Amino acid sequence: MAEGNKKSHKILIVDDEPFNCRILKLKLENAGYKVVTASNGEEGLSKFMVECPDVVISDIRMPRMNGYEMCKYIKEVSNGRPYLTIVITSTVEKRERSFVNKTENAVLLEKPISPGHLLTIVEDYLNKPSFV
Amino acid sequence: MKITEILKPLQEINPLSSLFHKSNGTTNLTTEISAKEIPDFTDKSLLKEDNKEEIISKLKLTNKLLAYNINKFETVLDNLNDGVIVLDSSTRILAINHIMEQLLNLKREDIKGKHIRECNCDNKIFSFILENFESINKLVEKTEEMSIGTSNLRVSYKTLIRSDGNPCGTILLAKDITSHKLTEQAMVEFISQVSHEVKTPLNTIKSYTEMLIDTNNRETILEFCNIVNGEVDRLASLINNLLQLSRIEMGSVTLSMTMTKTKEFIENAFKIAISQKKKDIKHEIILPDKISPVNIDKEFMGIALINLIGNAIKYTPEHGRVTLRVEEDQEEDKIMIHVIDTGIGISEDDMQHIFEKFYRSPDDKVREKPGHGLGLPITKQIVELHNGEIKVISKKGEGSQFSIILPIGERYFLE
Repeated sequence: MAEGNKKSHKILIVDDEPFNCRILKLKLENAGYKVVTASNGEEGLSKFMVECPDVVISDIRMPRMNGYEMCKYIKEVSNGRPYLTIVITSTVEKRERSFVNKTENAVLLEKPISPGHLLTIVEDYLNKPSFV
Repeated sequence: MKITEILKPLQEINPLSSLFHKSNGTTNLTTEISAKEIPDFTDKSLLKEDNKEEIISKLKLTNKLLAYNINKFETVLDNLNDGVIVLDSSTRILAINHIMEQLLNLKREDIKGKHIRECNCDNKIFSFILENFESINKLVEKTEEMSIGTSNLRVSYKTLIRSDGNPCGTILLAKDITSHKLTEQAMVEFISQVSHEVKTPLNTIKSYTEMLIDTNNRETILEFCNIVNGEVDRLASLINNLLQLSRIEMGSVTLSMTMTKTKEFIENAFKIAISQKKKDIKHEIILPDKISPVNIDKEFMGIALINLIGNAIKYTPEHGRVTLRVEEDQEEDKIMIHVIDTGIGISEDDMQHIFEKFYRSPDDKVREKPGHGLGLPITKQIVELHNGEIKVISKKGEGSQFSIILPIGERYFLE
């Protein structure tokens, strides 16, 4: 993929843990993507509407609005525009699996995650013919 | 009318007549009617026209005995903690106890003797019966969980089998498992919280160490190492808190109470808490000239007090003030330790939850400080183990006052 093409892709990271936000931002920026961050679901939702990212990476447990609620609202406001959702969660139980199964283009990653693995998932999605 | 027609419904509805007859009545039956006087209506040789008068008179006696026994049977059912409904082979309601009446929101006098389809009542229990009642000849034993109103129920359906092996009706038991469910939910929520609190620092450690491999910049390496180091401390503190909490909650804590000099205990706790948080904060201790000793477990009460002072320092901005004021109420025989700060304060909403495990305010000023939401629940439990109480006065933006109130107890040991 050409560098110029990568830069046109935008990624939104939503996590109330500033350290996690920062390291993922660094990894993805080093790979050439434009990254915006939010520290809770409410902020994530408003940034999604303004920034129109291609990928949303979100934690589940967050103050104000959790990851589930945020993803639900994001789907409502996306008007069918395609985007990848990567949910980072501490537990992979029935609730998490059913949430991801019900959400289009969603991937579930269990903590602790590898930034390298996350980047591979993002690249695989964005390298699909519809995104190149 | 033929006698067989008179007896048919009785035979169908109450196979009990035969059972009572064969069992010679129940062992503690206290009635003037002897069970031996009751004919076995399932015995076809009795059903002859010339026996009509005798049979009718015995039938009356039988009905009286059955009514008596059913009454006893219902008394037993009404004293059960579970809901019970008994149906005959055509889903006619034979017996229902108080708990089941409440669950169905129906009165027994309105429904007893009716088929459940005739009750005009749409509820999950009746639907469950009808779903399973395909044929009385089919033996069914099935259990399902359902919720009715605010109650969670475990409902068991079972075909009743007569002594001759034939099915004769249905019994449905409904056990209220609401409290069990709540405990289960609380446990799931607790595990999920612990998992989140443990995996979040683990996630940071893994991410930063992975990134360290590709980093050559010395400053970045130092910074990442510091972050990893901080997260390891955070994990260790979480594990310590969890261990303390589980010890207290499992009841395995035995306090070793000693009469302790209040002044020394408080000054020591204050010194430890201040040394743990490196922050430019004014601090002072205000003690009365004379103060009684307190009967405490020094280790545990130390944890509680250090938690409160630590919080006061943590949530008070630089150049703020933390004061520890001790009062003695001679009349009430109590010592009050107030930890007062000029920090960020607690909102009314947060005040409802601060003693809940893992609760952390959504406020950014709280979130930017490290914490797991376990310090205050632990503190409260420790104070309560000492028969004390904890009180909070706070206003958002103005500061907080947490007070530990301890009974003085026997005052003749020291000084």
